[in-house]
Amino acid sequence: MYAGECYKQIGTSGNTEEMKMHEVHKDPFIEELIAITGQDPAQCYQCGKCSAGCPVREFAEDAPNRVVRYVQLGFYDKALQSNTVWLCAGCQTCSGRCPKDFHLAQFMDAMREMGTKRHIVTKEKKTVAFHESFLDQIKWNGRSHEFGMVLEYKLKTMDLFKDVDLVPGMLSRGKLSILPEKIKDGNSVKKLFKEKE
Amino acid sequence: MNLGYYPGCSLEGSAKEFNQSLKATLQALEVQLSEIDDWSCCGASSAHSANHLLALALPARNLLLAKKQGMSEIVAPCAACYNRLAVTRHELNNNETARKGVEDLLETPYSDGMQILNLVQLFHHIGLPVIKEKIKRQMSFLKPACYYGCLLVRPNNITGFDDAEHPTAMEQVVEITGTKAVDWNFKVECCGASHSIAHTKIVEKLSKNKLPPARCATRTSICGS
Repeated sequence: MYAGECYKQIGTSGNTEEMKMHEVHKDPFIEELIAITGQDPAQCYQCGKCSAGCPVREFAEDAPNRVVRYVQLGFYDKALQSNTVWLCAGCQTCSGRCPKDFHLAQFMDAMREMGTKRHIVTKEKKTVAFHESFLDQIKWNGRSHEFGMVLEYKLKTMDLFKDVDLVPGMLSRGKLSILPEKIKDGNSVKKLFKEKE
Repeated sequence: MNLGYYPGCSLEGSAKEFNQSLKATLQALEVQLSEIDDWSCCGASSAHSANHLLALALPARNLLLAKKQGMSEIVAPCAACYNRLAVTRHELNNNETARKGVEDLLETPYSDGMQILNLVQLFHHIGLPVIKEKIKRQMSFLKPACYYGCLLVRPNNITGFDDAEHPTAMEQVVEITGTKAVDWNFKVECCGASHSIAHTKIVEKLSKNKLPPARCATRTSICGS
């Protein structure tokens, strides 16, 4: 039995009889999370050191340790819907400072992966559009193509005019190429994406 | 010295000048770089937000190519590429489930034997006294503030590069040019780079935070890797 599962029982029912249950089925969500990250979210004892050093805390709905708490209590949708999951910049300051060696940045990666798989609607549509556009370029060309990526992102978000003033300067300095540079063995990269789809 | 080279996508595009200055510097230091033939993107911050196996398979493809082309050390100047390559190597060596998954995707068995170097490590690898001998002009007029950012130093158990909160390896490199690097508090603070396109305001705020402390002591330049 995972501690996270135990908290779930207490958190949702408050029924002491249920708390004493000996046969608790393994929770598929926690199982999947552990399979991806190799760590049990129950490991976190909520000291909050991660949130104290988080550079995006002030922009996000929930403190990062609160997202872990949601998962510990079994509020999975609440965790996956939190914009903190998508605003995490992946800087890993939290992971480096955690007294329990809980790799919170990796936990956030898994939350994004699991949320996408479950078609969770997030408010962070722009961030999702950016990641999709970036990965599409790799899938099609084997390498990231900045011009194509920004074009796809703009069409997805309809944010058409942002940063266009930078284009002439970047073109004249050779920092932006209109056409992508494709690798020779493109198929060897394309097939890596089958796991994602 | 002959080393494998993984430039990464940005160095071919918006960070073109980084590629040019690095190549010129290494030429002066008589270090030959052989670019990994047919290298592909490491997936940067987007792949590990999408799928944990894809995030390992993309860098693993490059590690395997480098190995196949007879390389044993590769230089990855971009901090994100360096980090993804190092994390992948660590996972493939220590996590059997992940290695199996990646091998299935790549349809090739993985074998280790690759050293991955970031730029600061490369300069230390060449040897600071060797570089010092070749310096033609002292740069004492500069007061650099060294900026490491997130991905050179974290996760520290994997990159094993210097101290995670107060690294000094870059200062040692710049100081051989006769300058004195200043001590400041923002060496390893996040700039928010992964949000440059979708949340420019966050990046502006996180990056601007670093400028006043750097300027207040007449610190004139910020160097990064």
